[in-house]
Amino acid sequence: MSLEVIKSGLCDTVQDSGRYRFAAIGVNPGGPMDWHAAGMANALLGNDINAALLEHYYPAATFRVLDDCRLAIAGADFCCSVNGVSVGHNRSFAVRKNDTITYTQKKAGEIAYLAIQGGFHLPMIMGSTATNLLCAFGGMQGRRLQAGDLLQCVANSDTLVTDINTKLTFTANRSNDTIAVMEGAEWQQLNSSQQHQILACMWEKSTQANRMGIALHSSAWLRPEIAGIISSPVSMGTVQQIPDGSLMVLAADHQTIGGYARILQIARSSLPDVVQLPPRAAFRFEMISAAEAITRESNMKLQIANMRTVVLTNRLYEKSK
Amino acid sequence: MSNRPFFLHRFAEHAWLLQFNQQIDEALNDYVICLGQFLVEQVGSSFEVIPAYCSLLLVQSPDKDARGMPSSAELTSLVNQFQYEQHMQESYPAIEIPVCYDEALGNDLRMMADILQRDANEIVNLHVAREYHVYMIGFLPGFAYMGSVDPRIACDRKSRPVPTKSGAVGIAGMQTGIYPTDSPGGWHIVGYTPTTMFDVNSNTPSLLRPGNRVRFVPVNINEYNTMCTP
Repeated sequence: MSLEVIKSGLCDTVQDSGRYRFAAIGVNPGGPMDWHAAGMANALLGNDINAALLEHYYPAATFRVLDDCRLAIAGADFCCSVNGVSVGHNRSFAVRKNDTITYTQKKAGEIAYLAIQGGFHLPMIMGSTATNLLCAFGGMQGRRLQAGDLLQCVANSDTLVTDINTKLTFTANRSNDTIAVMEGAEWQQLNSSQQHQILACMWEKSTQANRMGIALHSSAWLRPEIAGIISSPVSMGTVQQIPDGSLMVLAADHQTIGGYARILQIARSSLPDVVQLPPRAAFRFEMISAAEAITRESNMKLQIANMRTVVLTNRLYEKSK
Repeated sequence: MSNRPFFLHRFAEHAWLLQFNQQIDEALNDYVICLGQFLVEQVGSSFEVIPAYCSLLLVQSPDKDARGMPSSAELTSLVNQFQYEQHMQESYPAIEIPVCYDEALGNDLRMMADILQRDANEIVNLHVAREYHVYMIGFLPGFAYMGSVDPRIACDRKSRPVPTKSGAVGIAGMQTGIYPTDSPGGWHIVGYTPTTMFDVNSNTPSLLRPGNRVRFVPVNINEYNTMCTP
């Protein structure tokens, strides 16, 4: 055993990169809200990018360390502390038996990730360890973490404490006022003045934001022109125009099929921005091509892959000395 | 039969949407489902398809390189190669699902009888009389959208969702479906099945798949209770 939850938080779940190939039977992928931060947390430890880690909302859970191990923190900055001493942000660190891990303050962002060297060891259900809260399976018995939960890891702990990679860190290239989007399936059915309005006005992130969806409001009231569609597939980042004129961004725990007009699709490169924005933050949409979206996503994936390579190479070098 | 006209939309970095004529039609839906299976066989195991009534999303796992997605020309060419007659599903017998329509279990038959101005027994008889096609699975894991019900028992959704039990068999418009888990639901409930519709620990988690045929078999409350006890 590696970590014990001693106090539960608002919404701490086990995630990996998601549950794929079951959408045709209505099972959504789940996985992290911020794929880039989750990938970086694993990369900082040299883990497989798909390794199971913890996703935290604030206030986050408190943990007791049961065995020496190595952890990494990334995403939102909740001032992760070990025995009351801050460990910094977007980096890995070693913990010893009986240390206490707390999150003391919500400094920036909404969702943080805690990875453990080797990944958390949990049963694979339908090819994934991700928690499906809706149907109560995956992760820790299909639910949020609660006091008393024991989280096991699969690493050997001999070289973990003096890891050479302690000083490695990264900065997420965050945009706070622009969210990149592509045309949604029903975008071309909007008239040009409404298209123009949607792209020109400021959108505000609602306080209604969770793992299922994020509501957006604007000061300009837009009368929906499309009553609805015959139910059709959706994915994370699909922006639906709902009958009251507001928009709904589908998040990690979205349903697989929806009946509202899909007017935009948030680029994967901007998903981390949208989920990490604080409530009431305002932004504009930036329309980009699929090719541009792929380039931006690839660059972010490269940052993850490169971090993992550096960590693993450093370790090999250290061993050979 | 020639191939169906469709509109191809780049849905996301890792997804293409194939949108066919906007209609709920069994033959079109069956074509969509078979085409989806064909496309996945062609493009490989890092892809999956999500079929819906008259559209299909071809999705690549997001951990794969989106630059490896088929181009619009490649995808169109694949669709043109597809021959529905050769890929039609063999006509398996309908899957039989026992349903207890006894009001002791707490269903909405009386409410429906008022709305539809029909006898509750007639509603049950009409629900049992037809064989249904599974158009798609969505809303909840394993929730099959089936149709079409006899127009005489087509009933609008409730004005707001209410807590609905696992196994509840409902009607919404021309559709019928089964709640695989406890959930808020707006469909009018005609009965309950003791059959497990979704089991995460099974190799085939969902009892029903798009394209299946389904028949409801009425059982009395004693039979229902016996089937419920493992």
